[in-house]
Amino acid sequence: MSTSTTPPSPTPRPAVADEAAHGRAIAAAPRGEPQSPLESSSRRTRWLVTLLIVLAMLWTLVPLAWMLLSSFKNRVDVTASTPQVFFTPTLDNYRNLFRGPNNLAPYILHSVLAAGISALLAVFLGALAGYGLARTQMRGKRHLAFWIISTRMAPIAAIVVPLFLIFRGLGLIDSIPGLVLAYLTFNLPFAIWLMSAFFAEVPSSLEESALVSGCSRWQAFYLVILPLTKSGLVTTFILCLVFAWNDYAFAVVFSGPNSQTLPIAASQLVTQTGIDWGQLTAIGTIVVVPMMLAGLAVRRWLVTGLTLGAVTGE
Amino acid sequence: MDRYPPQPSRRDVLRGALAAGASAALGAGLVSCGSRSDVARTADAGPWRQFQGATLNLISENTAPTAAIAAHTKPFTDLTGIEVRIVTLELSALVQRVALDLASGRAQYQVIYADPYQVLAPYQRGLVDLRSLQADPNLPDLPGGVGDFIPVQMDAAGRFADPEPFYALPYDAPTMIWQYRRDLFEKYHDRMAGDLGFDPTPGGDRTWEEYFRIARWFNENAASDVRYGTGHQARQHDSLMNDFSNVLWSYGGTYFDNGREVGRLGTRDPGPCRLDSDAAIAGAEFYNRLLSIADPASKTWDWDGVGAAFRAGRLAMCPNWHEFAASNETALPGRVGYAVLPRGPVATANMYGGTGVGISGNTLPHERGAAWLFLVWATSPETQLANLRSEAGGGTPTRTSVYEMPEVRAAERRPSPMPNMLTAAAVRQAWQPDRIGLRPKIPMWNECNTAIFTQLSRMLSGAESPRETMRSIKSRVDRIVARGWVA
Repeated sequence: MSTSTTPPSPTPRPAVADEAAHGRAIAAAPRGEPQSPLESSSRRTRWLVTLLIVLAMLWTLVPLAWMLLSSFKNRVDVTASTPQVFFTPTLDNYRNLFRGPNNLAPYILHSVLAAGISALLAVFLGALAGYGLARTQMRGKRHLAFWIISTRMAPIAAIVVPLFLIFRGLGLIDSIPGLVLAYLTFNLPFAIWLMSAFFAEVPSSLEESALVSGCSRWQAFYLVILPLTKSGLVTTFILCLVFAWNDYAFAVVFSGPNSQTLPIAASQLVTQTGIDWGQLTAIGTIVVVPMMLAGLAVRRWLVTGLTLGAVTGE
Repeated sequence: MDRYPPQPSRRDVLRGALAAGASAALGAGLVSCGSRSDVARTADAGPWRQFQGATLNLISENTAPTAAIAAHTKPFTDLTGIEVRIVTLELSALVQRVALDLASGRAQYQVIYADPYQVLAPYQRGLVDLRSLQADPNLPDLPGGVGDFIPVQMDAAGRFADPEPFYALPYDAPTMIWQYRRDLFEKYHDRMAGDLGFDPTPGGDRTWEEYFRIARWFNENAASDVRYGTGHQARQHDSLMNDFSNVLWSYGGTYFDNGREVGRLGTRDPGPCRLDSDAAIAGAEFYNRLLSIADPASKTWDWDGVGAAFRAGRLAMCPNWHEFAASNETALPGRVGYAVLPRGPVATANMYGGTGVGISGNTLPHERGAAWLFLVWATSPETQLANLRSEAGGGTPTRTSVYEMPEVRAAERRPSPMPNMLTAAAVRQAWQPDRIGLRPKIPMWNECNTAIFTQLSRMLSGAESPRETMRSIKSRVDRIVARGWVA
């Protein structure tokens, strides 16, 4: 792409650099020189895109920033009718969360165990089942795949009562294994479906080569295929973890004094005579930060994973 | 997809699925074989120590009394050797959890916060008739007996349909009263009295019409002190029904025939809804008019919202639950006054929102005994006094004897170490049988309540006239009641 003010590039350049050069060229155009309708339209589009990006960032970041700021405010500042941006920060809200009869530490432990174990199990089982689903050729395979994901389509409220009665019979109410199983019930179909799409991306010739080289099917899966789908595994793990970590609907029904999780702790701050906004935002921060850090730590695989499999149609 | 050997066949997949299913079923069977055992009882350990080593689970709404109890369970554990674990939830989540627990046939929660309208009325059959425990010679008596509880609260929070059995002991007693800026009423008293032609001091002699005129006076004359004369909990929520009902009853309206009895003892068959009466429509018309001059944000507030606005100095007065006094005194120390709500052309009514604590019918015999010990302790005069003093909050007592204690009497005046007691004079009047406002205690109240506040919200938004609103509520409530209730 070139304009009358930029000489043709002697060597081919990447598209992004080309775009940037185009933008600079438009910006550098003399003021008095009339612009073509194409240039004017391109500039408008660029401004619009920039505006939308800024709005999207504000939409997502302002609430988080506000929550973070509020968690460091005292009771007066946090409920002030005029929002306070400048204030004397305090750690009281965080300190209070770990004091008294409702100490947050057990809630954090329960959340870590329930969400972590269920996400690991979902990835493990999802990988096995997804691999089988991707590689098996059988009549009704598509129906089977749809049936698996359809179990995820039911609203939680619809399955809570039967699950409660089953869990009650099995003695799983108010236990971490019970919560793990509840999250697994909901996450596993999703994990199978997702992993199946990732495995479908991997050419089966790779396994054939491994089998020819003397690998067993398990070795071919474990040594060849799994490493190639690392981004899929990470993506599935993170998505399952986020669901379980943030869950309130299952936790409110299946947990009890021995297994309450962070979202339940947050709900307990909404009381009959008021909401403790300071502590609520502090819990919100404690809930959000680990997931954000986890997402940032694996963002390379996450981005790859979320786009991989998109073109297979599996 | 390319084929290549050795590929899992359909038969392999089905065989694997069958094996996995069989393993899961076997595992589940083994787990469920374990039978549930009762807590141990040491017969010679005395009435309070006989269940030592037991653990009780209490499920409660996030209320001030439960916060205080949760902060002070150690004395109970020291006394009985029983450990208490408390789960607090928002009311709708609690109702869902209690319903599941009662339906499952096993008591994960032995002690239940029994909201009279959302738990006691619909699930009374799942709760223990506490007379059996009160009569058990091996268990401690209720100090002062049942008669020490404020009678109307004992009926409203503890009984259902029958005046004899009781399923819960009154545990907290929030009641709607008139909360006003005492400093502003004093500042403007003479001007207001001159302009309005009556003494504006809040109290049981004031009428709702006068309340309206006081509110409008503040709107027009005191903008430098407050933005609005009155604010209300008129969001599309349970709070709207509460706020409206005070006006409805004082205008002579009623939800059902024999409304006081339906509110006090409750019934499974309340008969036709009476909201289409002229009195009910007059009440709705006044409420609509009152909200037209109230802080417009009222339509977005529940009790927390109006309480926060009042504490922020935005309102001169509001009807709200009396247990907000403690937070009022923190934000506006010495500047708030409390009175019973105004009267209407026919009556006066102050909505009662108290609850009781009961015992799950799924408990085993010794578990039930241990739970009784907790009920006796949690509602005892000593514990209620400790709750009043608690820094964790605490509600207000439900026993007559506590209100007669010298230090509690003394706390009714400022400076008060128990700020909720500053409302004592107002709530004592409000709890008189002819002044207390009791919503219908019927099993299907939850659904009726939703119909009521949904339609009222439409009225406040101008979508329906008061007359249309009352008629549409009647029609919906009649349909809900006609369906009956199976629990």
